[in-house]
Amino acid sequence: MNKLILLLVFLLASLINSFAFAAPLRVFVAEINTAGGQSKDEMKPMLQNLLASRLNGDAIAAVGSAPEADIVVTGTYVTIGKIFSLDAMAKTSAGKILTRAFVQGESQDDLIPAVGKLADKLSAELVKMYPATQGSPGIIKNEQQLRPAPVGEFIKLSEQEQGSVGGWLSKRLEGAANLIATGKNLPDGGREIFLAENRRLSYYRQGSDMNLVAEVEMRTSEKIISLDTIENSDGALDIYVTIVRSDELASQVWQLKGDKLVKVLENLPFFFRSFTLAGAPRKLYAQSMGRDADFYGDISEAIRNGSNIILKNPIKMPRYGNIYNFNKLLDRDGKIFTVAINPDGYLIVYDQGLKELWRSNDKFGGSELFFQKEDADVRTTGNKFRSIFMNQRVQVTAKGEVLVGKNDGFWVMGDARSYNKGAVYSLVWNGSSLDEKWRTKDTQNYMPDYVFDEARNELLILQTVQRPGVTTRGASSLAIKKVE
Amino acid sequence: MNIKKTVAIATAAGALAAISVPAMAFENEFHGLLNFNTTFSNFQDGASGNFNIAGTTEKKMMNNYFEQRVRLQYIAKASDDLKMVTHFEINNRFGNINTVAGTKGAADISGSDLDTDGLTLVTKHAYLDFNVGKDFNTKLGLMPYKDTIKGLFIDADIPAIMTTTKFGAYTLGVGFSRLLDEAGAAGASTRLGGADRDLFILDNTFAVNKDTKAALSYYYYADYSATGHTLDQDILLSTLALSGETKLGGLSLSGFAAMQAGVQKNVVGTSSGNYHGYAANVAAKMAVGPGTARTAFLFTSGDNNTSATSNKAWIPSGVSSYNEGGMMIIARSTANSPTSTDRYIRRNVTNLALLTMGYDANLTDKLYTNGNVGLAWTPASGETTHRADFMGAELNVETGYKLYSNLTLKAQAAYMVLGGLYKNTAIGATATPENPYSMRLHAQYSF
Repeated sequence: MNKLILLLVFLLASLINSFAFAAPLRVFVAEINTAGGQSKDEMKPMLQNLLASRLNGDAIAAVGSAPEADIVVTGTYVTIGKIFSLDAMAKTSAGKILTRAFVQGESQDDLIPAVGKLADKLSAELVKMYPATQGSPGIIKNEQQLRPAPVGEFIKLSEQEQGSVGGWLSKRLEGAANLIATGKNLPDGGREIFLAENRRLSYYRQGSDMNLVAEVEMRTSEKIISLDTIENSDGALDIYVTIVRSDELASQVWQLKGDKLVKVLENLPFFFRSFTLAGAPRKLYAQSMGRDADFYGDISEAIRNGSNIILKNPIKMPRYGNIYNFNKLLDRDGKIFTVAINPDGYLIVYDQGLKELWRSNDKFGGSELFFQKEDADVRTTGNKFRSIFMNQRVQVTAKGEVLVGKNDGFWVMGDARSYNKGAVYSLVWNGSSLDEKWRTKDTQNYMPDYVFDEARNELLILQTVQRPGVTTRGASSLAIKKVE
Repeated sequence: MNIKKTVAIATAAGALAAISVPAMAFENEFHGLLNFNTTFSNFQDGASGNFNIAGTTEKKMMNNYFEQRVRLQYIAKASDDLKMVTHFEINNRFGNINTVAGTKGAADISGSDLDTDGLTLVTKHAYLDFNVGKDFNTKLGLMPYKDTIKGLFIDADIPAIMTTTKFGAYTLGVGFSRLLDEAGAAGASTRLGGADRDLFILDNTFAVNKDTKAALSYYYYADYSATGHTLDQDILLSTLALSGETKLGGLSLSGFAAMQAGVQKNVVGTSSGNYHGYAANVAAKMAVGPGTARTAFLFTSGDNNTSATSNKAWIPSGVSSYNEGGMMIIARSTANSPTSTDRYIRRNVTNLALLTMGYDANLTDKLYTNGNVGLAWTPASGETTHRADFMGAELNVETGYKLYSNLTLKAQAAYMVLGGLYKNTAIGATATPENPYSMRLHAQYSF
């Protein structure tokens, strides 16, 4: 009997091993550049999708972003008169060119068959270069057959082990960033990423790694407490930097001009946040600061019109709710609920009348980022300044999932906060309570902020790998994890 | 006892402990601080109270001492709407043997000298804080309270019952405090509640909009314990105060105007005395360059009336403050009293006109420097026989380094050039007292 069990275990192990090496080659098709002809903008995503779907097969899996791909395919589509040429180039994620291929045709009618031919050519070349991906026996013949083992990024409640997928981790980034925001997607599959330290705004291009492009430093009296991006009516990206200066809000708007960060507006008396309210399309929202209230009154949609910020459609806040710790969600019947994290860290769901319906047993949220107001009872606290801590942002996806960050630490007492691990939780409203759907694996460090890129289904998790010291800025890293 | 019984008992105890845990989340919240400083000063002496310059020696020796204060606050939160707040304090001056009670040579209860174990823990606050509904709050017990006029009337820890009711932008605060009960004292009735000093508080605050708020307060001070109890000399004093705060562009403005009216029975023979005090303030601050510039003016009336039946001085409750100017010598700024030392020329802030200007600069993320200048006059020059009103000019500087987010190391220096008010007021009335000064090195940790 024992021998039989041993045999079964051996066979099972062999089977798993062979499946591991039979994984398809992951290819990402970046946006195709177009030149000449009309409707250039429309052609770009169309060609990208056509090529990706034709490449996809048993040996090749077309994936949605560059970080998760082994190979990135870029291309150009050129039309001169009626004749067109479609050229493609395949590179490794490290940037090494593997192969080139092209097709051409004499009219637009030939375009779709030509994309198919191009895909065939590329597939043949790539498969030739990566024979191990075609399910060859589990014997490693060369280094190219080696692929990194999937890292357990997600633990699903029902499938403790099977939710693991690959992840991407940046190199060490100088400066302990408190905040992260994403900008536009880049043609090569990368994206624009903005990080903010207490007084520094940094612009990175994320491709196979994070490359610092530009950074600016604020005044010594200014502190950045929120970083948000949104496309304005011109299609340009506005970067909203919420700043507190001398007890008051003095927020700024920046834009990218080439590779430079340029200040567009300053001294705006608003907290800003761009987010997807109840999973609706992303909008910019604003809230004011009061004389006594740190977060004053309603939250409003904010639209920038030149140098003016126009507020409209105010939203009433529930008890404890403010612009950063609240969101709304829809249940199956289309009823709207409000969700917020209270000061003790409990997640609370409110009904349409903003009455509390449910609160979590577990604590969520937690941030080391704070701003200060000079209105403390100094006789009691010994400190002229009162610290107001920010919190993890509650995000709601189009599917109605509630995403919330959670930090834990040994020394979290009063105003002394030192977290040492964090995770992002996904929760779903079941009609009476929020059920946990999945959560990420704990980070090894404090997680100051995270962003969910819903279009790519990716979580961008910022980590503080080293806290700022007496003479150092500290360091961060960024992990990107695919959400299944 | 056999092992099975032991296991059974342990299991039962565990089960009991498990079912004893309340269903609702019980939160424990802690805060604390440790302030350490060493002082070099010719007027600060580790104690509290007014520093009366007139009548002191011309030359003064410099005091040098080391002090520390620890505060520990524990808040037991039964729910969002119910909590108990406790706050304890430990004060020490190095080498001192009579910090807490008794006189020099008495049993060592200071815990501050050789072999430092001693009884030094005192209660600062102990009160219950609960909500009835979301708009009505009550506090009961020993709590901190500061008036709506920047502490000019009262900024103290008091035994009180305070309620706060919110009606939208309007907030109504109603409170009662018993500041003193002298039942059984010489000449006083033994009836509890018969020889009291009571304070009734009414604070009406209205947040006009995000940038403006206004408050109208009324404080009724009823002192039935006054002056020895042999004669009915009750003091009944009303204080009416209007205050406001607004923001105009980048400029933050605040101010108040307050008046007092009251009576004391039998102050001179069978005649009653009247009180007519005034106080007013205006302050402005603005972000400029790497820091904040600020200026303020304060006026509190003094008693310049020779008749005992009419007192025109501003009468604080006994413990007041004025933090706005950041003074270290002239007027009590509680930020500059981090330990037991609480000595100012006007620790009880009255009979003072004070113009201050200052700038707080953030030199780097961690390094800062603040500087203040104050010019002081005395509205009623009764404290000396000299006719001048100018008390003097104070210049102070503070430089700090935030070593960690919760630990600040800082150095302070303050110097005051005495004005004509104190000319030839040293003992003997032929010389002017030495200008007061103070230098301190601090380590300040808080969480």
